[in-house]
Amino acid sequence: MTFIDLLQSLVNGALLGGVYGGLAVGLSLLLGVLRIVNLAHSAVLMFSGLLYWQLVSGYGFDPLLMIIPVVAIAYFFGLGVHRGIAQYIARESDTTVILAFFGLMVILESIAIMIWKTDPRTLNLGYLDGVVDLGPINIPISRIVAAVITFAVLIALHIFLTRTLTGSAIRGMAQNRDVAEMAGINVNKLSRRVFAVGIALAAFGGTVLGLVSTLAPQEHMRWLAWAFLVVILGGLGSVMRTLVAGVAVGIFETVVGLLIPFQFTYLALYALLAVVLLIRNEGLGSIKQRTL
Amino acid sequence: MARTSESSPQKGAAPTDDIALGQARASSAGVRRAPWWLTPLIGLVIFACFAPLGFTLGLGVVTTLTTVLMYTVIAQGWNLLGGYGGYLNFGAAVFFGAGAYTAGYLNSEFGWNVWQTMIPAAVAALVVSVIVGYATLRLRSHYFAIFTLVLTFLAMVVVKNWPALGGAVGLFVDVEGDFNSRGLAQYFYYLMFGLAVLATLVAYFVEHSNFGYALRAISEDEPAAQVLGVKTTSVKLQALVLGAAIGGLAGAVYAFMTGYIEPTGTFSLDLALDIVLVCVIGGMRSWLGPLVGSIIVVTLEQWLRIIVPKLDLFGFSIPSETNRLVLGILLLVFALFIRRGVVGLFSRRRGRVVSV
Repeated sequence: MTFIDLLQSLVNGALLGGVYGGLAVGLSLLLGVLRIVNLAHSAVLMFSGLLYWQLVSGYGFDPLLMIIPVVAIAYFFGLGVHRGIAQYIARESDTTVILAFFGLMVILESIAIMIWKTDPRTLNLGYLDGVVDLGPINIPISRIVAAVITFAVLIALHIFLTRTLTGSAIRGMAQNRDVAEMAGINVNKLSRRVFAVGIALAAFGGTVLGLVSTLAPQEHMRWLAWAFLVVILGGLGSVMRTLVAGVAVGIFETVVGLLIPFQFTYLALYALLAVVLLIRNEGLGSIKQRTL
Repeated sequence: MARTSESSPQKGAAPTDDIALGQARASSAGVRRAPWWLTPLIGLVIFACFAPLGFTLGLGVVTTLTTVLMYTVIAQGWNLLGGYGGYLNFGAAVFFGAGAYTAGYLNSEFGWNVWQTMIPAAVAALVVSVIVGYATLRLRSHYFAIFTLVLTFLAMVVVKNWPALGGAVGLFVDVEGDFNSRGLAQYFYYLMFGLAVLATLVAYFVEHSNFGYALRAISEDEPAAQVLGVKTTSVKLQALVLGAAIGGLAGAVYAFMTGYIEPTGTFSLDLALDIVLVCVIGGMRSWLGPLVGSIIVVTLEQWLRIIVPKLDLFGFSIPSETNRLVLGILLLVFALFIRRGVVGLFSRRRGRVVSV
């Protein structure tokens, strides 16, 4: 392993990690603000990634513009899911919420397999296809674009949550739902929108994932693992920490990939996950300190 | 969730009494309306019906009923932590698969038969569950759920890249002795029958022990249970380990029953989905639930498998994933509306639910 290899994998990992931050932020938002464990996160992600693939590779639309309709569709889907499912179980025990979303995950996954079959799909990148040569290292354009878009979206989300009145209301709701309601926040309406944004962010993660990776509907669980790892590593504190955790996971993955055979990088990542779970003893006490 | 009682057993609480205590008494009086021997009787009747079926029915039906019994075994194990404790475990396939692969390995390397491999299979599942449980059970329940969901995928990757376990190709498992196909089916039917009785007994005794009460306390309110002196982490770990060992036993028998195990099939999410569905449909808070649920779920799946390809929707053939779609919708419906399952529908809770 030369220095160049290391540098190459660091750059690759950082860019990939930006995308991982995008994968995880929807999960983190729903868990942090609404305390909903969205087990269907990766199914939404995969479904919208494949929808994006259909629009771009199937119908030949512009790859950058097509992110917008996919995310918009997911937003309205999220509104519908909240109206139909999530609002009834928001106050129920974790068990009920997890079961309902597990059911949703199975439904989305089976529909995706029905439509797109189980073949892995690679996006036809069009004008994003190409490699930038920076001296000894080279980077695919699609990866740079995906990382830049993700960084932009996450920073915008961060600014929205910390600098606007609605953002403060959301953070207030994350801290204490009842008091937020007393303070005059329309909690139900806001929850519905936050939920829809969480689903839309999952869809956004799916589109940027489509830019950098192949998609297969039956393998979405793998991305749930990645998103979960990023959420655990970054905590539910802030969007920026999610982004940093994503970059850390990306770099870890590529550097470990240099050292050991490809198929064992999974194992290293899961080992990392187990270690993080053991160290960050997110027991019962952590509920109180939740801010977003 | 105050439900008005039908016969209003409120008169027990005089105005000077402790109101909460009076309500609790009234509520418990309502719960005990069904005679206590009813559920054990139903369980006994079900098992008594199952007992002669291995000899009387055709080969195909016996195989299906063996699947019913296998699901009963795994679901009883799962239900200990998932149902009573409220910690949903989507990694049922991991413990089951650990048992199946241990049995397969011991058979293909050393030629052990099914009886000899059962104990090592249970021990292997137990070891895996201790490792998993130690890392995750101190966390809140949703972290445990996600972690176990992810774990199935991890187990598949590990086994695929482990040459001693056959890698992606899988392992062949031989049954010793000369059976014809019918005798073999009967052999495994009664083996699973025995395991199902055993697992149901374990679940029954857990439900009526302090251990079971501790688990239910955890699912109701974990911090409160901890304050009251329940060693929550250790109770949860014990429930997981016991359930996993039962799942491992079922896995060992399964490996011999199918004769061939490979990673993608053994560690698929379908098993986890089926087991969760069995418990949710049957009823998660009762030892009778998995028994009733597995009969319903397996019957439904077989029916879908037979009926769906025959349906002809305007010239389109219906893909086989419809099966899972229906199961997913069913899970959603039960999670939203019928939380106490089929068993809960019959042993309806009378009186009001008291929350203090």
